[in-house]
Amino acid sequence: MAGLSDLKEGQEISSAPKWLRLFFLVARRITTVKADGHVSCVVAPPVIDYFPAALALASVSIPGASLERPAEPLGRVASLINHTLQDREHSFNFNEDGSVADEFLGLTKFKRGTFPPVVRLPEDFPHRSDSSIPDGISERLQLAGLGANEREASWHYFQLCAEPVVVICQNPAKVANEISELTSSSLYEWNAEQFSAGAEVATTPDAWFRRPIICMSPRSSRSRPWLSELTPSAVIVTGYSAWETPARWVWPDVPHSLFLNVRSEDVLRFRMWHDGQDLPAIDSEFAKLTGIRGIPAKIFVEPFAVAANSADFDWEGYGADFE
Amino acid sequence: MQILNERSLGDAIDLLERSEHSNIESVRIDWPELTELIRLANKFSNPEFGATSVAEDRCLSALGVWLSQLADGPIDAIHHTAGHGPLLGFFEEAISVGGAGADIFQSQHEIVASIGSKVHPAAGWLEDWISAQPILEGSPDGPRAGQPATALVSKKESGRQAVQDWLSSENLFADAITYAGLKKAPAYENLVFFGPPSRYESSKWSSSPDSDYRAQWLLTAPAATRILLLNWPFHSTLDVSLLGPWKGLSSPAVIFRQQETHPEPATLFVFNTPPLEKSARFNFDYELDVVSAAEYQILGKESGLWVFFDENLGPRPRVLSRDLSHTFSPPRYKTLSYGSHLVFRSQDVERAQLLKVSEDWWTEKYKDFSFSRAEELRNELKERLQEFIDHSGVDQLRRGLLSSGLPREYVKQIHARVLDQGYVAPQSQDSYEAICRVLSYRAPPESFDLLGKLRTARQQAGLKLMRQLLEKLQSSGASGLGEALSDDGYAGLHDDTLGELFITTVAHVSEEQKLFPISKLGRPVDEVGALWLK
Repeated sequence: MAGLSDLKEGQEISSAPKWLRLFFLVARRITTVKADGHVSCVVAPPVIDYFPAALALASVSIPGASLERPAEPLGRVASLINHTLQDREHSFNFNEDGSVADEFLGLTKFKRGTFPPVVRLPEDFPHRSDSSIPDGISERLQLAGLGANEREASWHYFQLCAEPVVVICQNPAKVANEISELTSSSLYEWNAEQFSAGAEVATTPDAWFRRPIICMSPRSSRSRPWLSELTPSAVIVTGYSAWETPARWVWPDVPHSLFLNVRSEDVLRFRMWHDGQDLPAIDSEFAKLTGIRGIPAKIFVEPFAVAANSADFDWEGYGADFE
Repeated sequence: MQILNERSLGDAIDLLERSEHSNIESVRIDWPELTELIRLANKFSNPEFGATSVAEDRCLSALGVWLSQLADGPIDAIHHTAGHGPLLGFFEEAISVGGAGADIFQSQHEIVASIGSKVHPAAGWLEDWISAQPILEGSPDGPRAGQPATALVSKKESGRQAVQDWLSSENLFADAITYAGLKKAPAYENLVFFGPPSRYESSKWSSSPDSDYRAQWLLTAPAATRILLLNWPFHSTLDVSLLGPWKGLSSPAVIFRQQETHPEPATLFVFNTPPLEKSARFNFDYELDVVSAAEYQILGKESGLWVFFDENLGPRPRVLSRDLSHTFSPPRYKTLSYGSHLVFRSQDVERAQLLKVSEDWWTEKYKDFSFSRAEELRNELKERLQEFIDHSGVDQLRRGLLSSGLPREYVKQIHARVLDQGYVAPQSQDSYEAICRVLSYRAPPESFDLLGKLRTARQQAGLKLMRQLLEKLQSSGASGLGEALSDDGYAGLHDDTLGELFITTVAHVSEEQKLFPISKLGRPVDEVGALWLK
């Protein structure tokens, strides 16, 4: 059975409390569960406050693949230019020798021959003003050895923003606040990426490519079809009400972690949905996870076909109990 | 919209840590009268009774309401929120219908009247349980610093009020909260629930398993280190298979046990011939405060010794257990049995020791506050009350307190309680302020808080001394206490810290109650009524 002792690699977590080690385990191993369906981990902490925020922080890590230099013009892109997070038209041509044309370099002030990180924006992605990396964050990443200089360190921040951790919750401001509080608490010494991600948390998906953690309401997925063209590094859902919406089918290939609010109707509603279901078996050692005393957890898989039913969801009636 | 961070990070982690280490116990309390009452009520579901009249239906419905009130805590059956009086009226109406169930209504009427004259059977048990908890007060760096570490959870606000009144009347350091209040509250050290978790969520519209699922967190994610489920007839049985946020998760461990039948008393002394009742020459005419109390003659002095206990006032008897390892207090309304052994301590040493240990405890925990100031305030309240009674009389005091809205039962006893040396001050701020108003006493603003701290310090000290007493008894059991009791029927033990311990045997139980001074309740007196163990 998968246990906390399995978690040996990577970040030093032995100083973390047991429950946080469980969250690191979930964050790092849930992506290893291969199944023909939407993989989820349901977690039932004693209260809904702070625990989803802690998993969000534990899930932050710089993606392994580095940003590739584009082979051809990408159209509208998100980029990091002169330490500023900007959206730009990537319409220039390369010089014959492969270096970047002068007009773009004039904008970036990068050294001739290099290029800024660029990620193509989906069509219909909203237009927005430029944004800064929070004060001191690039220095902090550089000090932690992420990048030889502040510019390279900023690229790491941009990478975190390109594949953010998404928290789908009824009250994004509350969870964002909890993440910030956890980041600065003495509970655990978060690494530089996690600290950077927790320093400023977005409360709308429109801040994609700008912040490494995005808290969003399920309803905000409804008017943003472009969300499914982007890929978060992890998705955390707080409360059954948020989970039962079509928002959980925006990224069916990304494992989700569902936090139940055990002091609400969540357990009744989750049990009514879950207990009678014949969910597919999972061939994975990690899927035997049961959590720890105080925080039970369970991995389950929903067939992709279920997503089709979610189109009928009654958005008008949704959230009347908490909005 | 949810309020931002209404629970702090510390509170959330504290709740988790308690869930991780919680200990759950389910105790069943016997209540034969209630069992019989429910058995009789169930007869009405038998088709042979046919249709019932409006008056009969009203009575059955009122009985259901009353039973559900009694299910919500160790509530006084005649508490104003319980509806005992109107229920008796409904029974009379139902009986007068003369229907097929008249005999059953008659029997039920008698049982309901009888229950109304007694203390809730969970009360005595719970009183011992609360006092025996190792942690009484929230830790100084937690959200409950200086506040009770124990809470009793009622389903309804009316139940909470009745439980609060009971806690205040027994001077117990515990909170009474509702289930809804618990959902938002920081963790406690000890939580007491009445009946299974599902009772707190069940309603006309929600029954098992829905209510089990909604309330399962009380046991799977408990908001305390120690959870007690106290059950009596009328509570449904806990189904542990319905616990857990999803099917298939192993249920939390629950230790089930029947009410600790009050441990068997030791009866080491054999009376060769039934002891003769000795005659005493008590004369308490000069005493102002007397109550009608149960009289017991005890062994230890040739010319006779007596002790009197009251159901509501004064110390409770400490009876020596069969294995001599500890003492216990039988329920208040239960008569002490002939031949059982009672344990007493010398009052002067006990008081002095209590004061010393409370001060030590205070100095350690409340070093920023003055212990002597708290003692001054305690004495000030007693002196002012005594002065008021001397000038205006007890009736005037009672009238004043009743007009402040305090419950009649509480008002009846409160003056004697406040004047008792062991008493600190009313636990409820409303009661405290009402008394101060009636006495025209402008208590300093910090007084209620200091008196609360003093109560805690004394309770902690009392617990410590009780534990020392038990240790002393255990070591004495090994060194000849049993022999002394079986030979003579009484024994004295000396301890430098605890003073004199006197263990004796109940030699005669009077059938009638007698008027006895409140100040001497629970203390052995000689044939002229003088305190025998100073």
